[in-house]
Amino acid sequence: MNHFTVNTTKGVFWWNIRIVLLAKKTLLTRSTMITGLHCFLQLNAGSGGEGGEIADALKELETWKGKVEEATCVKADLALEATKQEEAKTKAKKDMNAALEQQNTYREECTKATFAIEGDILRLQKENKHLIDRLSGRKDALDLKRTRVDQLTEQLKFSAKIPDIKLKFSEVLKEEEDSEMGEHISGYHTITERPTTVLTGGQALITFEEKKVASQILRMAKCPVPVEKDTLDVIPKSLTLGSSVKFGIQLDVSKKALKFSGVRSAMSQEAIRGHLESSFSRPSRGGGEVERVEYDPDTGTGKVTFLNTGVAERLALIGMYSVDLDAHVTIKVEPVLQYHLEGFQAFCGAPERTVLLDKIRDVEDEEDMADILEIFFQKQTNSGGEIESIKYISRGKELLALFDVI
Amino acid sequence: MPKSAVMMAEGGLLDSLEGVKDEIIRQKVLYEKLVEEQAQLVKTNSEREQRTKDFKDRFVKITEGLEQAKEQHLETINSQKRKHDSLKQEEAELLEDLKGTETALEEQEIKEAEVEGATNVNTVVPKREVVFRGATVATGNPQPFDVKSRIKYPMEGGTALITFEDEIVARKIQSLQTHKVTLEGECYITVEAHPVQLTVPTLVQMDTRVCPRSILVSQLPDMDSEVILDKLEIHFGKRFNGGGEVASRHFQEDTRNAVLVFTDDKIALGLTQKENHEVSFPKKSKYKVRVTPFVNGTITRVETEALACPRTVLLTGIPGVMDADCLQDTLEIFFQKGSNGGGEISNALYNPPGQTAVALFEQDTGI
Repeated sequence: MNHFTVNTTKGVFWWNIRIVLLAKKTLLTRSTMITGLHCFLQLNAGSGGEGGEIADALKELETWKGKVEEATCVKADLALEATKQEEAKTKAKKDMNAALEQQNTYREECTKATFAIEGDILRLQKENKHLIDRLSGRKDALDLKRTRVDQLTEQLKFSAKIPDIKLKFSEVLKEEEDSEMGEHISGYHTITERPTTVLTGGQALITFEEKKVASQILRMAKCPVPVEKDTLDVIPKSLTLGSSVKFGIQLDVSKKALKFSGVRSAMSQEAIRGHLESSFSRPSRGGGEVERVEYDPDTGTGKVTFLNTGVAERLALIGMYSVDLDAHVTIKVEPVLQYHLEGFQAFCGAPERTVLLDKIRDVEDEEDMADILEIFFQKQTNSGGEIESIKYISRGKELLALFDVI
Repeated sequence: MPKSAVMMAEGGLLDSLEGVKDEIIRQKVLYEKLVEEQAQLVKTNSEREQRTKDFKDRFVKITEGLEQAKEQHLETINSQKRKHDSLKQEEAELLEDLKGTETALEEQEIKEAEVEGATNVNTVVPKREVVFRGATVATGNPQPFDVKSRIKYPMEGGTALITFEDEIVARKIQSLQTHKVTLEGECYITVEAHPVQLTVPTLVQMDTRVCPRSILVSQLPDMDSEVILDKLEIHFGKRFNGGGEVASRHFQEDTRNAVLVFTDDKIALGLTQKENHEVSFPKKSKYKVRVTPFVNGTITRVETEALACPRTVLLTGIPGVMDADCLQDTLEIFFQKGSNGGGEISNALYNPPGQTAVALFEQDTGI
């Protein structure tokens, strides 16, 4: 490396001034100038021994100085970067914290809201359960009450099964002022429920001819009836009967009209009516002159009213009639009935002449015992009197005694 | 002067080789230090950058999480609200149900009182004398019913009714559908014999109920029914006696009891509860009568059957060839003869053509 020695300090001084001034002028750095000077000196200097070493060193120094400068710049850049990053980091942290806070606030709100509504729900559930229990209880009470009402209502209902009877023509009735009389066979049926009482073994029922005898017997605490060689203390008791009903039912059967059913046809209502009318008026089939025909297409039933009496009854007895509709068919015919209730009464049977005898020990057989009782109670000396009827049943038996309404 | 400072430094630098070499070393050291510092800065910058990235990532995560949480919460709240609403609705329905049940219960209680009153009435009915005449049935049967029937039968013109003593005779006459009834000499008329079928009830179903406005008055004195009714109306028409305006009244001939119907439905109860009342009748002031509730019935069902009369025969197609009485006698004579298939006659009636007659049918106790 070439180098030269500058002999005087002054010379060095003036070189530096020139470098600085030149550097300022060219805007180059000192180190760059020195490097430039170094190159210039290299180019212009000859080879010298000592001067060459220093030049090399100076050259190295420049290199290092350059490196340092570069490094300083890089460091400065990095430091600037750091500052910027720090700003960014702070902001990012701030944002994050803000978001965290927001999250926490939100979580709190959510918890509050959820808690509130869950509380309401729980409360409602509890209240509803109470309501359900109460409703169930009231519904049970209602069912119970309904059942009771139904039971009681049933008690108020009854079914009168009317026994078979035989009827006969007995007499002619005097003319009655009733224009409608000829139109119906009118029957009045008086239906009476017979009061009853249960007779158990060892009891007897005795009916005296006179009320006063019955009362006398009832006043006695016991009646000593001699049986074999013994005396049987028979206890007279008054009878309490349940309630019974009596009513009349007026049942009228039309002599002119007939009910029919089972009519099925595709024809119009008018056409059906016309066909029925003509069918019912045929004498060959047992019919007669028709006054009118009423017909209900929904049920296929109706009523035919004849002009004269006699036809309806005849046909009702047969029960069927052939009519011409879409084809020749047989329809059912029935009498036209009307009924209504008359004179309903509920009463309690008072058996004024009948006495119950209790505690009759089984000593004799049934018939003999009945006779013994009859003999005893017939005697006036025993406070008895004429007997209309007596019935005794022995131990182990049970009967329902029937009373007649006077 | 800055120039001298520079000169001094430069002096050191450029004065000697050693100076330069020292300077080089100094620069080297400086450089190394700078490189180290650079490295340090790079490291811290990198770390810082990472930290910043972490913060940003977390921010994003939190923000996203918050969005999700908001969505979920909204869903939860909505579902809770729906639950709440449905519970509220359930509550409303239950309350209405409850109200309905209470109303129904009240109605049933009123009914119960009414019906209870009616069933209790069964022990508070007027008395009727009954007698035991020896009839019995097996226990376990319901109380039996008796019937007494009276049927008014309008007769067609040209017909006759004959009741025979013997059922068998009647049947025989009916089976021989036509009969040639001889009149004078060779003349005869042909008549047709038919059974008589009458509709009778076989089953009657009824509901009974206490009439809230009526009372039944029993144990009445023996006098004219109109007088009794007047006196009863006067007595029970007065508020003072616990009564009120009488809407209607009637007398039961069969039982000799009276029924009074008031306009107001609050009167009957009080009167029946008192049961015994002293009423003024002619010549019987302060006569004790008994007041009980009036039970009436309504028919709910009737079953009937056509019953053939065992001993009565209907003859039709009888022409009016002679006087009615004569013809009746002729018929009776004819049908009494065993040779004609007839027998003893209890009753006979001939209705000539064009006339009307009503025959009475009653219970046949003669068999």
